[in-house]
Amino acid sequence: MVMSPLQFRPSVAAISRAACLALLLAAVLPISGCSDGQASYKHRESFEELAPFAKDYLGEKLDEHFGTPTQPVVWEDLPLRLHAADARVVASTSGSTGLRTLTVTVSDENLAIEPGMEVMFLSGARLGEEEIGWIEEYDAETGVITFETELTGPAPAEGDRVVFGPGAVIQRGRMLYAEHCQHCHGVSGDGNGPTAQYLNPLPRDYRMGVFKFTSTAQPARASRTDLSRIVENGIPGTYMPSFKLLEPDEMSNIIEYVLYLSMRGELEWRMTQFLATDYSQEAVSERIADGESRGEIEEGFAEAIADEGEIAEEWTLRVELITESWQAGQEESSTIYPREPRVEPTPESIARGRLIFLGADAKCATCHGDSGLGDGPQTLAVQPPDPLTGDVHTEPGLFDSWGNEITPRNLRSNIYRGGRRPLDLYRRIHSSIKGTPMPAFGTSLSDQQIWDLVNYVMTMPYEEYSPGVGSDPPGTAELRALLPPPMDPAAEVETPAADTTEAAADTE
Amino acid sequence: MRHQPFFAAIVVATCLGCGGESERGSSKVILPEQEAPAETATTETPVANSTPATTTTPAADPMPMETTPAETAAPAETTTTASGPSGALPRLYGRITVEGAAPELAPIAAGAAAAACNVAIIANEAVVVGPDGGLANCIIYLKAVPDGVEIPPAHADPLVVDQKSCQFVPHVSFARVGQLVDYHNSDAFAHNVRSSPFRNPGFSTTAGPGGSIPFTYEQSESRATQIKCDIHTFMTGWHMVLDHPWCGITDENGNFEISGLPEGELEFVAWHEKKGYIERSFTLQIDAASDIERNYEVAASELAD
Repeated sequence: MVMSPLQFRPSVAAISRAACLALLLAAVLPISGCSDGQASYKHRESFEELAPFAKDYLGEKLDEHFGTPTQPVVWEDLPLRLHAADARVVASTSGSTGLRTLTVTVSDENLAIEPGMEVMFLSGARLGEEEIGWIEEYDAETGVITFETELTGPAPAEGDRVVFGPGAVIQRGRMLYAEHCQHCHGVSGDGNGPTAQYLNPLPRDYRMGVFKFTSTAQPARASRTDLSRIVENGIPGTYMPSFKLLEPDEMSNIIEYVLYLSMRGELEWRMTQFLATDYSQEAVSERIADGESRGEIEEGFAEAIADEGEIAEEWTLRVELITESWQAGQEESSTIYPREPRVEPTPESIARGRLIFLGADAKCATCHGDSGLGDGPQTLAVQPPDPLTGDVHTEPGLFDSWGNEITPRNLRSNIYRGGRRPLDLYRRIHSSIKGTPMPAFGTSLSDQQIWDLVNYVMTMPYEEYSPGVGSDPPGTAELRALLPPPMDPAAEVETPAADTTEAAADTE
Repeated sequence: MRHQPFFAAIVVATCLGCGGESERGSSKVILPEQEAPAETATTETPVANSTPATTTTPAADPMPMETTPAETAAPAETTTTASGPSGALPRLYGRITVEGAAPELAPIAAGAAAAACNVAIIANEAVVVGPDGGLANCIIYLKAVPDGVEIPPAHADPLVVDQKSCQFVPHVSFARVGQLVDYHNSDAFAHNVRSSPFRNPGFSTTAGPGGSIPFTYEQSESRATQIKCDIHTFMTGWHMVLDHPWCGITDENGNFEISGLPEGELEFVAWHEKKGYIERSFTLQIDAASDIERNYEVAASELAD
């Protein structure tokens, strides 16, 4: 870990930060960051395995578009609420030396518009003007802004886009993140802050764009509501505490910054993967061994990063895809609601749920165990290699997309990480726990079946069962007798229904 | 914030580009609800060829060649190695063989775990070697289509990847961008499909007994994509997803064929799941009459566990 305690210091002097950025860019030190102890984003391990020229390219590209933690770049392409407020010009008046007031209609007000805020024009004649306007007075009723000093240069036209406090949400989110989140989740959102080494489960690593507990469909991203629910309530059974005492705008600023880190991290991850095919250190030495010269390889790289080169196009495509998928996740249509109302938790429904839990249609017990203790036979299997993480497994165990070992939930513990409402459990079953081996059953189980399962799962902590008599709760044998027979009776199978416990023993 | 110079620079170029108005149409990928295509598709798909998992020899792998371009006739319809290439010129064909004794990989599941899948043993299909030493399931593909080449449209038929007796059938397959992939479950119990592509969004969804998961890949992949089942974690399969039809997968005799190639200087890749790159890149000058044979030998030691 390359963490220094200085990283927790709130930034104090804007000027030194500016100097720092200049230094950073001039010296082209995309990895090491500034030497004065300022926070810097850390690159993922696979990034460090790229050939030096590929690292330089991607590192600079990320710095150019995201900046550093203390000097974020506000990248308008990202689907984030970046600015304090977004508005359109309706009219303007001029004083003796230049632009004096501006009448606007505000479309998004993420933070209250206040005197002292910067005004930046993002379209029209004033786009790119160096002279900065500052708000002296803002009348919310009339939408009239008075500038502290009159602005020279061209006058804005009606319809020009203007923002107040450009990047203020990200700035403020970053400060709050540093205060509340960073010591576990890390400066880069890699889930590897200084405290992380003491934690199990590990803090979320945002950099794949994956968040576990969502209300959205299986392939969709988390919605902002999902993230704020987690920040507000915490995750029971983990170290993620509740941050209920945050003000609503503080909460939303943190979430924008988390999304910002997630998008930066995912872009780094995807681009690193893409570059690694041909330009990892390993690939380059293999190519040299195959007869290519280093010069040829670097020439090819230069072509690929030039306009319309394949790497340049991949960057553009990635930004588009990340943007589109996060936008789609925010749409109401991505949120999963039960198609049918909850089935009454009658004894019959609970019994049906238990059958599904033990049965072949859902195979819940394969991971969660017959009695739901999270000890199913899959926990004793050795996993095949994972091409995404590059991990090769030799020991038994289940792993999540981040490459961390993970256990199926003990359903008798009465702790539900993604929330304990019936709706939360419905969504876990319907749409999976993203980034984990828990799959989505929305495509294979009916709503009634999912509700039966929810009803059963909710009774499991209270189900009678005595440790020491095997992990089967009473009545399991009777239930098993009700299960459908195996598909092919001709095959050499003794009692497939009893496979789970035997398989466990066998894998050992 | 008062009078602090604003130090979050706007990337002006991108502002200009989007002008603040850019409406990016949402192209969210949502898995459709279960649909019928499986019923009609299974009858005319490669799946019907053989029944691999019930035998103990791994050589009975079904033919993956059906997933190559439409004009490609499956060259290994028979069991001999003599059947030559038959597709249209220009063409690249060849044979990939194992040098030395084929490694015997331990089954990926046996005993109770296999019995749960109604079979005695589940062979490891990571290395499938034919009787004459041909190495099946190698993927040979055109890396990128040169500018100006017209790309034939994708198959209208879905690619069916079956989950049968806890094996993905075919173990290695080729899907076109935009082609419907129908992950079918022929078993009497639930399977899950977790697809972990590098460039496409991944997914992890369950198919109940007889169920299906329709999915369409929207981006070309630069490497093969792994699919696996989280319920039976020993199950793995592979896809190559490309935005063009020029891909061949070696059959049980190690033969492959890519026909109807475009003309020009083309860069190819040859890959196998255990070996990794057989050849990371090779460039061929293709003209209308090209009929190029390219054979490889892979050392058996590189395929061992």
